[in-house]
Amino acid sequence: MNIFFLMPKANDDMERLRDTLQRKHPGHTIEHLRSVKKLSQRLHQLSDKPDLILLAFPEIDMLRKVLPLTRLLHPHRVVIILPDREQETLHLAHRLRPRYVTDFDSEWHQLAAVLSRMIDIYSRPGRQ
Amino acid sequence: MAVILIIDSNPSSTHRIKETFEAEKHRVLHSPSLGMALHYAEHEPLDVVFVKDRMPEGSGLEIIQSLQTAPSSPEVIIMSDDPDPALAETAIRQGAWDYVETPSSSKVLLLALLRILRYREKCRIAAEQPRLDRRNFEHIRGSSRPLLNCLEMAEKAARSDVSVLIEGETGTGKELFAWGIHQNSARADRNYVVVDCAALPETLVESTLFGHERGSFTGATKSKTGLIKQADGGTLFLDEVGELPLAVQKSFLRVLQEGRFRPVGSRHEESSNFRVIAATNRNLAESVEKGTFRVDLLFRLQTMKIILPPLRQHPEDIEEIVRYHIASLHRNAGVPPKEFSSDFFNTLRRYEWPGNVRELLNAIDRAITAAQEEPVLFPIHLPTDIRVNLAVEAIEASDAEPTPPARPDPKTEPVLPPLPDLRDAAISELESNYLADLMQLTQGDMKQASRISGLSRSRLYALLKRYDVPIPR
Repeated sequence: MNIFFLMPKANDDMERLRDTLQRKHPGHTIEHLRSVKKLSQRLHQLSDKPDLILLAFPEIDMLRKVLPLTRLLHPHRVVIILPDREQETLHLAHRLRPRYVTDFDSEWHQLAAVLSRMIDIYSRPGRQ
Repeated sequence: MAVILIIDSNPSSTHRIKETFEAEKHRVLHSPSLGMALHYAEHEPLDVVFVKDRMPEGSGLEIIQSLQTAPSSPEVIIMSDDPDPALAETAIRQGAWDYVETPSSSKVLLLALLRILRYREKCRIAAEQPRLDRRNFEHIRGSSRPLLNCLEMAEKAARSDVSVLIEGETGTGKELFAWGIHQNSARADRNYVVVDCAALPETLVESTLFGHERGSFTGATKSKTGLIKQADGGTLFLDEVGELPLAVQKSFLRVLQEGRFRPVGSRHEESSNFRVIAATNRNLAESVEKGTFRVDLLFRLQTMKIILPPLRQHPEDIEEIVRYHIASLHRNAGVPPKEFSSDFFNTLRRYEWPGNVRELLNAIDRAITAAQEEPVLFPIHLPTDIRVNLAVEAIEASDAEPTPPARPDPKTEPVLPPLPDLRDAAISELESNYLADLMQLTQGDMKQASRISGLSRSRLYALLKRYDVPIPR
C-alpha cells in the first residue's frame, strides 16, 4: 500500500505519527511530500499511485492551494489535518471529500488509530 | 386503452389472461415464443408485457432488458406456474415490475395493470417537465439499462430530500452516486461530510459524530464540533454504514428522528438539519436478522434505495467507462491519449472484475504505464494477473465445451492440469493474440512490427508462421 503524506513543516507530533505508522505497518510505503507542487506532480503520475493521502495543513492558505487539485484528489482516500476548526476551514476541507478530518490540536494517537484501521481495511484484496 | 403483450406457450392460461384484458377494451397481443416477442417489442407501442419464466426456448428472464430497451419501454411482469424465490430476486434486480404466480383471478391481473398504467402516466408527466442537469453525474459513465435505472433513481433522489441507501459491491461507485446526488440537490452549496464508519475505532465513533465537550474523556483537551453538526444544511454521507456500532446506531436513529443530539459530555442538546445518504456493501437485511443492525434505523435510511450493479452485470459499459477515464487522464493529468487494439475491449469484457469499476480503472492505469510511448493499448499491456485469469478461464471453457471422454476422479487423479501445460497454453494464447494485433496495427509493415515488438524480423516471421497469423498485404 502506498501512502502520500503532505507535511510541509517539521512537526513533532506528525513525525511521531509517521514513525508509528511505519513501525506498525512495515510492508507499506509512506512517501513524504514537502510541498503542494510535489503533491501535484505525484498525482499526475500513473505509476505508484497512492491508496491513501494524508494532508497536513499548518495554514489555511495551504489548504486553498490544494483546492485546484480537487479533481485529482477525489478518486483517492484523503485524510486531512487542519490548522483550526473554524467554519470556513472546515467548509473548504470538506470540498476534498476527506474520509477523516482532524486538527493539529487533537491527540495524534487518535489519528494514528484511524489511519491504522484504514491501512488494514484498504489493503484487503478488492479494496485497493 | 393499454397495449399488452402476453408471452406464454400455454394456450389455456394465455386465453384466460387475454379474455380478461380484452373485456376491459385493452389491445392484447400474444407471442408463444421469445423471438416473436422481441419483434412485437420493436414494432408495437407496448405498455405492459406478461412473460412466463419458463419458455420452451429458454428463460423469460433473459429478455427483460431487451424488452425494457424497446421504443415504448414497457413494464415487465414475470409469471410463474412454480414460483422460485431465487428467480424472483433475479427478475426484480434485472428491472422487472413484479414476479408473480401465474394469476388465476382476473381481479389480480386488472389490479396489477391498473398500478402500472398509473405509474406510466406519472412518468409521462414527469418526462414533460425539465430534466435535471446531468453535468454533475458526468463522472458516472455507462448507457446500459441497469446503470441508467440507477442514474434515474439518483436523479429522483437529488430532487427530493429523503434518506437514501446505496447498496453495491466494493468498487461499484457508491460514493460517486452519493456525491452526484448531493451536487444535484438543493444542498449542493453546503458541506458534504463523509463518515467512514469502517475506519473509525469504536471508541472514537461517538465523539467524531456528535462532537464532545472539553474534559469529557481523556485526551479531550478542547471542545470539538462533530461531523453531524458540520453537515448542518448539507449532506452526511455514511460510508459502510453496516459497520456502525449498535450503541451508536441507537443515538444516530434519534438524530434522524428528531434532528437533535447531545455532544459527548455536554448538558445541552444541539440541532442539525442534514440529509443522510448511506452506503453499504453488506446485505443490511441479513445484518438485521443477525442482530448487528437495527431494523428501525434501516427503515429510516432506506426511504429510497439504489442498488448498484456489479460491473460483470453491465460489461457493455466498459468501453465508455474506459474511454472517459482516458480522456479525463488526458485533461487532468496530461497523459497522452491512447487508441485501442481491436480485441482490447473484448478482452476487458471477458473478465469478471471482482473489484468492479475501481479495479477496471486501476488496470487501465497500469496498462497505460506498461504501454509507455505506444499509442495503442493491447491486451498484452493489461496486468499479468488479469491475463493469466483470462487465459486459464479460456482453457477451462474450451475443455468444457466438447464432451470429455472421462472426467478425472478427484479422489484418484489431480483435477488441475500440470502447470507447465497450463503455462504453455496461456503463453501461446497471449502470443497469438498479440501477433494478430501487431499485424493489424502495422498493416504488415515488418520493420515497424519488429520495432514495436522488440523482436528480430526472423524471430517475428517464425512466430507468425507457428501461430498461423496472416501478414496483411
